[in-house]
Order: sequence, then C-alpha cells, then structure tokens
Amino acid sequence: MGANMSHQWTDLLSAYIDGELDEPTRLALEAHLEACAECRETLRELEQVVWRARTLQDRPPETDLWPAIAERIRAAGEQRDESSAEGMAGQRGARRFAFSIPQLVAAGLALAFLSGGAVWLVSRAGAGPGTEGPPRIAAEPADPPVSTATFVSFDATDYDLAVADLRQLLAEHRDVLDSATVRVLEESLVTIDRAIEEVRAALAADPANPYLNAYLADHVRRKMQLLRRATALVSAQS
Amino acid sequence: MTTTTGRDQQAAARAEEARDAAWAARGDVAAFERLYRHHVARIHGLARRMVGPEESDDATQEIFIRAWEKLHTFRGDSAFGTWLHRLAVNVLLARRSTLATRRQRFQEDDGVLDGKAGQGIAHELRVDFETAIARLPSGAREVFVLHDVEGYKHEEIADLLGISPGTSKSQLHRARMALRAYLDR
Repeated sequence: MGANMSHQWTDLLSAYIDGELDEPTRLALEAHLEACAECRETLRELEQVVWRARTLQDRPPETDLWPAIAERIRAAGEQRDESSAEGMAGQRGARRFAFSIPQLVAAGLALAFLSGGAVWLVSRAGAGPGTEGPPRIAAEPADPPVSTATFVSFDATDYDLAVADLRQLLAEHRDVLDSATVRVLEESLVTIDRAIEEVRAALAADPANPYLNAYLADHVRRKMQLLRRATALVSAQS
Repeated sequence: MTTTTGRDQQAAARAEEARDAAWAARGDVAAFERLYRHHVARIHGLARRMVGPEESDDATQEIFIRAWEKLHTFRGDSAFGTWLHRLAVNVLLARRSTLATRRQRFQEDDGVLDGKAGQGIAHELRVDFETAIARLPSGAREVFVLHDVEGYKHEEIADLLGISPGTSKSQLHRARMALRAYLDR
C-alpha cells in the first residue's frame, strides 16, 4: 500500500479513538486495520499517548509560591485601603465587600459573642462552689455541615427567638449575676439587634444568593442551638 | 466504586471548601491559603503543561491572585476546584497573544510540527513525556492539554481558543502523533 494511502488512514486514527467517526468510515477503517500492520501499530501508540495524558500526575511547584502570593495580596489590599481612605472616606473596601453585606460578618461575630455570653451565664449559674471545667454544653457535637448546594433561607425568626430567650434568661437570673455580666449581656443584645437589622436590609438587597444564605444559615443554626441549650440548662437548674 | 461514606466525605470536603471560599471572599488570607495548598498542585500542573515550565511559577501566582480578586463571583453553584480551574484556563489563555496572532500561530505551527521541529525533539533522549508536551508548538499544546489531559470537548476548546472544532481535532491528532516518540520516557 502506498504511503499516501496509509497517511490518509492514519489521519483518521485519533477520531477513531475518540469515537468521532461516522459508521461507514469507522467500518472502512477497521477493515483497513485488519490488513495494515503499520496502521495498527500507530493506533496502539496513539492510544498509549491518550492513556499517558489521562494519567499524568500533578505535583506542587518545587518552590513554595504562597509567600509571594500572600505578599502581593496584602500589598494590593493596602493599596486599596489607601485609595479607599483618600477617595471613599467612610466606606469599606469595595471588592472584599462586593456583596454589600459586611453586616453578615458583624452578625456572626455578634452571635458568637452572644453565645459566649450565654455559655458564661450558664457556667456561672450552674456552677456550685468548687465546680470547675468547661460548660457542659460546649462538649455537644457539632452539627453536620450544611451543603452549599442547597438553598437555605434566612430565617429571621431564629434571631428573634434567640434574643427573646436570652432576655428571659437575663431577667430570671439577674439577681444571681454580677453587674459586669449583666452589662456585657445587655450590650450584646443591643449589638445583635443592630446587626440583625443590618443583615435583614442586606439580604433584602440580595435575597437570592444561595451561597450566602446557606453559609449564614449554617452559622446561625449552630449558634441558635447553643443558645437554646443554654436556656434549657439554666431553666432546669433554676 | 464510590461508597456512601466516600460521597459523604466528598460532600463534607466541598462544603468545607465553600466555607473557606466565603471567608476568603471577606478578606481571610488564612482561608485562602488553605484553598491554595489544596489546589496548587493541579493548577501548577496545568500551567506547566500550558505555558511551559519556565513560566509556570509566575503563571500559577497570577492565577491565584486573580482568583483572590474574583472570589466574590464564586457563588457555590459548582465546586470551588471547578471554578478555579476554569479561571486558570482563562488566565493562561489570556497570557497568550491576541486572537489574530494565535490564528497565525496555528497556521505557522503546522509546518513546524510536521517537519524539522517534530523530528528534532524526538532525538533528544533526555526529554520525558511531560517536557515533550511543553515543547509542542503552542496551538497543538493547548489543544492537547485541554482535550487529553483536562477532558475538554472540541467545541469548548474551539470557543476558548477562537478556532474551529475541525482545527482543534487536527491539532490534537498532530500533537498525539508527535508525542508517540516519548511514550517510554
């Protein structure tokens, strides 16, 4: 068989491997392959090339690139902050808070602070003389992670209930708490009330963001559960 | 076979990455470093094969810095790794020259691949398979890496590179033919 004729068949081999030939062409090529050892060998080699490509191993760079990346990230952040201070006084960095929801972070911090206050409250209320160690509720297993692929709506009712629980807790145990504890908790309530208002406003502007909703709901759920356990524990000991 | 436990672990890992991405999007550099550590090997491998070992470190840095800047666009609709990989491909292709120049390169490379260069590198005994990929002419290399290594379809490659699917197929075949000489290395 002439070289040109063989080359013509060879050009079809990749498409044959990838299953892209129409039926008549495929049958004709297979008939040719039965008679042509050279094309069979080329086909075998091409299949090996494809296999090698699919089994290549990734490996990290020989030098750690992270320090340079971190440096450039921080430098860009500082430059942005300077620009922000000069031209956008009073505003937060636009890119980092492109969702316009810095309040989400504030809410999370406020909730964590509030939960911490509740734990402290429980610890003090339930601890008798000589009792030491971490509050029992802190040993509860963590909730399973919430899939970010699932839309979880932001339930403001949870916030309201949590705040109500803590207010009730505070009212019932005010006499057993020192003034500093009461002040911290009352300040927390003011903070969270303000954060809640901001979060509600922010989510009203971007209510269909499933990623943020799921993230926030997961975080909030954990904190709410902790607060409820704290309330139940204190009530049981009262 | 993927077990239920394996799927649970994958789902948990994906959720964990989504949380890290959320923290990073709000400026948490430590969370972004965790993402970097997890994905750098794959991204660097992609960069090494697409732009060559000489430029791969610089390209990898550029990809992660661009990812940091674009994190607010990640909405969790896909896995973070998938999002990052797409971004990486775009960054790497953007490093190439303009579309018009790229088209010209595809035409010019035809002769190079079939002729002396293809034969020339075949005689370099120390060149392994990965290095041979990096030495393919750019058009053929991009198509080969995207199709055979990364699993893109010809239509997707055609869109990314601004070529026709037919050109993508012919470049792939030529790349495979040239790489046969490096199978044992």
